[in-house]
Amino acid sequence: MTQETTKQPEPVKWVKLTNEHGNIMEVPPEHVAINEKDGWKVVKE
Amino acid sequence: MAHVFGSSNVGFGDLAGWSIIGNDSDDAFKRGEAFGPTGNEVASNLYDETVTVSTRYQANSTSTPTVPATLGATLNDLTITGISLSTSAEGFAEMTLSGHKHVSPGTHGTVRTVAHGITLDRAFGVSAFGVSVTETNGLYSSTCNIETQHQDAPGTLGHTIAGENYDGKITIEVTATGTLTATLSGYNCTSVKTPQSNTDFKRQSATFIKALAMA
Repeated sequence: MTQETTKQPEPVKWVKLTNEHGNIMEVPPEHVAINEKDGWKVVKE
Repeated sequence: MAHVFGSSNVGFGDLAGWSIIGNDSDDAFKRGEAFGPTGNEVASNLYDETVTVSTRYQANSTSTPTVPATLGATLNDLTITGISLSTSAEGFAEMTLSGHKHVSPGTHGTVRTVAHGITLDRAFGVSAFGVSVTETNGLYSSTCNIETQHQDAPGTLGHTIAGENYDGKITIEVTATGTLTATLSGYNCTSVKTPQSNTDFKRQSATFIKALAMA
């Protein structure tokens, strides 16, 4: 007998941003652009 | 422990255009208690350590500072659940960020967010937050509260294993020294207050509220 399992969707990985003071903010990918306009920069990992 | 003066880069941390003028941090546990047959406590257990933070900022130049754009984002490991702005005709804008984090093993990971779209008009003086007012209204002060409700869920040993934001709201109040004829598209005007005294001009305040869908 085959047992069906419900696969949970993978959680979306948030993007790390940093400001001129070195503080780290994490936001969903779709929010990166609006925060970049405010001077936040994506942290290269 | 050395005495620390001031509030540099604490709480949510330094943000461009703002000085931190105060920070409140509360590192707290919940406490489970067991009682004996005569009503006295016989055992206790601390669980679900959570740090709740409120950081107060003031604009530190005449350049208009930005407001964190994402309600529900994580800033310095703290989930932002509240952004409060306050402006007046005779002062620099102030902002308070509120939020929390769960101390390991507690965590709820990422939560629902929203881009609230609120900006300041200026660093010094009143921001209208989009409320349509005329100069003759004598706009004197304003507040804007952007907040989300937040619910956590405990795991087997009480520490937080899940959490979610819901029921976001923006509440804007503007106060004028004249008669206020204010409108704000997309919001409900829920209150118009008219305080008067024998030593001041009549003032008038209007409150506007709209929902923010956390997603």
